[in-house]
Amino acid sequence: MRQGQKDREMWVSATQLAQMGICERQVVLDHLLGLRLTAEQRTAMRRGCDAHAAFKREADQHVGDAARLKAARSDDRRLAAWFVAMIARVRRPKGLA
Amino acid sequence: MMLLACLAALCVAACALWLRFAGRGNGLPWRLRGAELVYSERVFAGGIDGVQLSARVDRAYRLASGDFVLAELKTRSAAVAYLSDVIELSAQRLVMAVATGERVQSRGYVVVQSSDSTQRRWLRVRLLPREVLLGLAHRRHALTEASQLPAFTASPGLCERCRHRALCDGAQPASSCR
Repeated sequence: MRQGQKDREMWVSATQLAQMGICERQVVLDHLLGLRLTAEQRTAMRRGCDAHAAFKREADQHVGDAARLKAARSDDRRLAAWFVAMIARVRRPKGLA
Repeated sequence: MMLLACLAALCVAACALWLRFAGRGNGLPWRLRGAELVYSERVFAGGIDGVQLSARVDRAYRLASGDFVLAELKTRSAAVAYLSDVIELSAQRLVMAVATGERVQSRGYVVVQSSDSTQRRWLRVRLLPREVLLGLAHRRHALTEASQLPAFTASPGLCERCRHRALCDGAQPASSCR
């Protein structure tokens, strides 16, 4: 895609759009000059990244646990079905196929 | 009879308190208990009425009804949700709905983690409708193309901490910010 076409299509991220709720002047100055973060803002950003990484790890753990639980339940169901089938076979009256 | 009425009132009050405070701390809000966590830190992108939107969703839960609910993590000292959080979540909702075809609820959660601990608060917010969001995208485009003039922030406190304060109209005093 050519740059001009890309510009006309108006690309925007949710984060960039969120900035409209803070200050329009900041939006324009960021667009013209780029992000000029202060040391304090850089520290806050790093802290945010760390918190997000921990949030993601927790989510992955949660998804992994849920998948394991689902698999274990499925195994339990298979085992229960096998057990019921065995009992039915043992208790089946002789003479029946 | 009176005793029964008092007991019933106590039960109702206990239930109301539980509903009010469920979800405080690190635990999920009661509305999300039993919901399936489907997406975590997932990027979605899509075109909506000429606007190409992209968003990284922190978490998306699927309720028993099949609807999705979004959650966005923020680290800050005060447990408050700002307009910028609502705009971000609304954009995530719009782009996720377009990209996946799923229904995403018009209420989401801003999860505020305090800067100095792992304590979290889940704040439920109402998201913006599609038209408002697309209007914001068009306004942003007009500002960056210099076809419209940008407004000052409504919060004087933001001016004082702004990274462009030295350049913004000759560093106006914070009190002049509208």
